[in-house]
Amino acid sequence: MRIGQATAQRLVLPGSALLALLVGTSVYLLDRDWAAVLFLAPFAAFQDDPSNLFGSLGNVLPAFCHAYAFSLLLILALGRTRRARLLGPLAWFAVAASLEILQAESISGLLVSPLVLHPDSPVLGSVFSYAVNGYFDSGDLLAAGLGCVVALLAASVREKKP
Amino acid sequence: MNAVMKKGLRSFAIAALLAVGIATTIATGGSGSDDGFTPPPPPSVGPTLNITAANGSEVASAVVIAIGLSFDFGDITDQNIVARPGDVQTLAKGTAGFYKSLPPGYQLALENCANGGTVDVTINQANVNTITVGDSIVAVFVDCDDGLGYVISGTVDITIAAVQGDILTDIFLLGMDIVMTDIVITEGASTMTADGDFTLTLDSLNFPRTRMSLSGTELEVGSDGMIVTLADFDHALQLDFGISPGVEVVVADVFGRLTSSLLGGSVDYDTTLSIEAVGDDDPHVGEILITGADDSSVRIVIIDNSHIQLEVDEDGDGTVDEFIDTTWAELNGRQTPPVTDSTINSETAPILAREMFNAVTGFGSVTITAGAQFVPVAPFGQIDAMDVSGDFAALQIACNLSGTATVSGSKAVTNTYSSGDNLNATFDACLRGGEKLDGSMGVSIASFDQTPGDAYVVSASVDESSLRRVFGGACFSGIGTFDTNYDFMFTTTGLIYANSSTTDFNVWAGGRSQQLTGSSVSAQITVGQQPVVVTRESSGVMTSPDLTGSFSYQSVMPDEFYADDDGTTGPYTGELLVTAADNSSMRMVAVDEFNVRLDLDYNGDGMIDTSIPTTYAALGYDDFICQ
Repeated sequence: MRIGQATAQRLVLPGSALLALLVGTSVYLLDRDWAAVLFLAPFAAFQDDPSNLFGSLGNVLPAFCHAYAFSLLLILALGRTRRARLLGPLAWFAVAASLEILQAESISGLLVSPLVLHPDSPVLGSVFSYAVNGYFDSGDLLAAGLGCVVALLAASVREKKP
Repeated sequence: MNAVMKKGLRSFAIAALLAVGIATTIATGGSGSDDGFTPPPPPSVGPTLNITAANGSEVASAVVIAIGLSFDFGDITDQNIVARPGDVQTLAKGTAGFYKSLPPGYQLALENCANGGTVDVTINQANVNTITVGDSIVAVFVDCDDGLGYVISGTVDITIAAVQGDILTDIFLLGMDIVMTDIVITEGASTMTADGDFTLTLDSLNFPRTRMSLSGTELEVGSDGMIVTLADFDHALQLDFGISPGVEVVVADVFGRLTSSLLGGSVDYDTTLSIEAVGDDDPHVGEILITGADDSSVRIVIIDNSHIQLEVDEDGDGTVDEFIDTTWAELNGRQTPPVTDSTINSETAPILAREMFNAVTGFGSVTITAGAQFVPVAPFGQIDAMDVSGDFAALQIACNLSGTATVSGSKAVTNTYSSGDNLNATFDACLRGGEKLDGSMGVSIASFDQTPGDAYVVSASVDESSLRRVFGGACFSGIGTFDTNYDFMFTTTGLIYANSSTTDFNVWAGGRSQQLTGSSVSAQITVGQQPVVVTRESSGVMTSPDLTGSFSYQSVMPDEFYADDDGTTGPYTGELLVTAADNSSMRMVAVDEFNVRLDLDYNGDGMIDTSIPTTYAALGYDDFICQ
């Protein structure tokens, strides 16, 4: 019984990360136009009308959930130390912020020339499609930051250390 | 598990997490709402070439030539595919010049083209009595010459995409999805290439107004070394015969993107004012806006059917930074030297007409003879038949009727000519057929090809230090250098395609000398029948000691005449436009084989101010002295 409790407690953090990912994915599945989402576009023909279940919250919820989940998973991968609890969220925030900034017009414009040079590369095509067709959203950046902070707090509370 | 392995697994897990995290971020478009993100295909990117005053003319020229080429390929498909009233049966002339009734799915065997080469055609036709959407034709050409004025190689794959009306009448709509693969079309000295696909729509439902449109996502076209790619283009050409009887009004609207490695990038082009032309004249009104990187642009403003102004905006601020005056001839790559200090009026016109007639006829006469010397009975043809190779000393050849030709030079192999061979000939009253030659000629061969069914094709640079040619009743002398192509088709009637161009050449005729610069002549000659018929087009600039300044000339309608004229006749159809520096002009309009009319426009406003009837006999042959 005590062993089962310990295991359950150990699974709280990864479980909450997984739950966050599911919530974020459900926003795409339920509220978004699949034709406008890269990983869902091939199935767009099967989608009924988007539900708008999450309302305006759905605009930033995926960024929050994604940042929370990957910050926690990084903390767990780095080890349950105080250093890991700081480094994981910081690392993910750096990644998330970089990707968001990539969508800023002044930055994405710089990527046009490499696209012309490699028009047939699927990886570059996706990266540039993300950068050039997406747009920079400070709301996403704030949501990602919040997700990282919540992940830090959750990990700290779970370990009962700041 | 030891510490090293643990550390390795941890590093792997972190790297995997970061990779998955980044990939999922990109795959979802980075959160946000969905209205800012469009999934692949990759985004459209703006044009990349900076347009400047330095490259404005070059960019405009590339766009104009590419648009012209696309219409040329549309025309070629049109004339080979669509039935004309009076023809019989259905779908395909087979893009090769034959038009047959074929059962569904019938595959033609390899066929010879009329004047050489082959075409292999496969046709799938649902109903032999009509064209149906989905019918297809695939034609594989190998040096196919059907007497249409060009030789074609490559593959054309056509699928009928839309049909309305009856193509055996004048009123129909025909849509075709066309894939061209490695198409090479040789027309005289010019070569055009095409690779890619487009949709061609021929619409004459509103006959006598017809419309041809070409659209596609990617088509690579080339002309004489310039290769460009057209992307996302739509070119429409409307022809209206109903506005004025006998007059064809042409309206063109185009847009698309042109990419050229030679220019170093891509530009977008769009007609902001429809382009209009009458008949075969160059357009007289219209505008095309060409946009490059950072909104830099050059606007082609058509002033009239010879003059164009280019407005270059280098920084995209909407203000024109540079105006460039140019001409259709320059934009189309038909660059001619500038015309200076000349005028045309009723006093100078008769002299100009005489000088021009002699210069044009003489240049054609003394240049076409170079290629003719490779006929088996002619001196170069006789050398070819000898076992001669390497450097060879002077060989005296008996001309087949009388006189001699002394030939020396170098020849790589026996029994044929090849690139780099050199021939020097001195003619002494060398009489062959209707031609008598005196003087000398040096020929440097660029290419020589001789295949069964095609007597020979030769391209060469020629130096005529002084060559006199008498043919029929005409006598001309030539001094200068020129490049020439001569294609002698060895068929029942026989056809010769020949063209020559020069940067500087002197023609002597009727005791007078005319200097030609930047000039060219192309001709098609039907031989083996009487009378021998010549179709000729000429262009260039002429200077004569009897006239002040220089004059440009250009065939607006090909001359057609009998080769064996007696010195008093000339073209029975054709029109030559001669223009002076002050834009005054003279049109030499053939009336019949004896008479010609000179239409004068004193101020270049396009209106005829006076017409002077005259005869070819009066144009200089009466005091005929060969120099």
